[in-house]
Amino acid sequence: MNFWSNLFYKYRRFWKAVKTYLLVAGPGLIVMIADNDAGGITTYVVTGAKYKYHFLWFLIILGPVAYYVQEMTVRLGAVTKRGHAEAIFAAFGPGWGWFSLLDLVFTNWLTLVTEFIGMTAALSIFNVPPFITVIVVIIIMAFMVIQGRYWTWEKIVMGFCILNLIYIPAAFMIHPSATEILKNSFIPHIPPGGITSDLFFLFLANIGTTIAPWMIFFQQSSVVDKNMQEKDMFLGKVDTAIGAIFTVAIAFFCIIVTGTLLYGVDIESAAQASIKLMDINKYLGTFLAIGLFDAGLLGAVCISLASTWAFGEVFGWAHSLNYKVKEAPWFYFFYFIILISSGAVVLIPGAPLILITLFVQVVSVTLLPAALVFLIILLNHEPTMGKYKNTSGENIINIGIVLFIIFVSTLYGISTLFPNIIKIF
Amino acid sequence: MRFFEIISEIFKNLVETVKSINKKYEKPNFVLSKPMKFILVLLRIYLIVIVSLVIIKFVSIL
Repeated sequence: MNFWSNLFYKYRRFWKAVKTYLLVAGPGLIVMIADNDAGGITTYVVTGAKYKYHFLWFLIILGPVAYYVQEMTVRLGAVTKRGHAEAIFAAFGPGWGWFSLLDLVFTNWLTLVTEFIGMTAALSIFNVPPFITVIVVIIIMAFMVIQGRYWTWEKIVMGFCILNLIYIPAAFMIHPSATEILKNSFIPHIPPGGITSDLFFLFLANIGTTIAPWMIFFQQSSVVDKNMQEKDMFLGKVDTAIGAIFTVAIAFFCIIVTGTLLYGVDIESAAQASIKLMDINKYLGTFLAIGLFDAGLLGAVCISLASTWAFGEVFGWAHSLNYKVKEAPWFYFFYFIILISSGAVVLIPGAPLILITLFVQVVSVTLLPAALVFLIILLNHEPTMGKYKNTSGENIINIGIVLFIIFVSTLYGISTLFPNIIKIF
Repeated sequence: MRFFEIISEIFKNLVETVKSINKKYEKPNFVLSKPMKFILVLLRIYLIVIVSLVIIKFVSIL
């Protein structure tokens, strides 16, 4: 009797914890899954086609890296009730504040253009003209925000996050070698062919897709908009950890699909890979194209909001998804302006889209180190963070990760500017 | 004529808002320790180098 009552008690406690988690879940999951945006999917597709499963072990390492950085934004947001942009203004003054805000808006705008490039390329496979794609995306995104409820927006985005898991069934459909995958997942090694400039560039690109400046601003603002409290912090961290597992899983299975079917094929973009896959298996090609569109949409949703929240915080506008359009006109005006303007760029005939795609990597290098350094400094400020400040152990891990990301993203940006530099390898 | 008036009004408002933001955050609520100040100096140098590289690249393209 005692055993059964104990079991029942544990069962009820477990479900209570799950229900509480579902209330808090959102910012961490969304930011992590949206991290695999159109650019991210392209990176994984190219990685799989070029190096088969040999990058899988490396992807597993990147999961904790993303978690440790994003976890800090949960703590900072829940304690200060301020977004990252406003926190920088308040802590470091208008100089660093304006730099971060304007750099963020500019970088995000360029990244949004690349998301639209990904989405139009994905739907063009199904003969959808780019202008229809842009209009449909803007309508979907307008519908998501004008509800005037953060909760509704979040649940719709979660639906798109689930769609992003499409690569998992796709990988199971092709029956890849489990032994080979396991071997490449848990034994760190250098891929066959040794260290070359291609390998080095893909190594940098995979790290580059792990942490982007918008993620820091987005999750902190999202935590504030969701009104997460200090007591919710643990579940917020769990949410981020589960998101990190999903982001690695999506990348992992995406690489398995292209590594199994397109290994050795010269692939330059995810849309091109979808077309090639359609020749092999119609459903797989369709899955990849839908995944690419969804990745672009998720990226666009989060990036446009990261900018809008940041601007709203600093300018003092009403800046919550819980407001109706009438209550926060500038917030929504700014949201639509950046959305429509970035979508319009893709429709301009002869627009330098490749240059924009490359330029994003360079511009984000000017913002990412600053955002990360500010994050570390803010998390070490006892009067602000109190008992939630970084512990010595967290500092060792976080500072190590931040230095590593700064070093690698800088190298990535410079190698984009001067490709010959990495040929020394 | 009306259009230019509206634009000038918007611009004037924007300048006022920026000034008020600058005033609001004029005094940072952080007392920076020496290591933190040093980190911010390093960050400035880093940004100058990166921006210079970008400029060099674009000048060489042009």
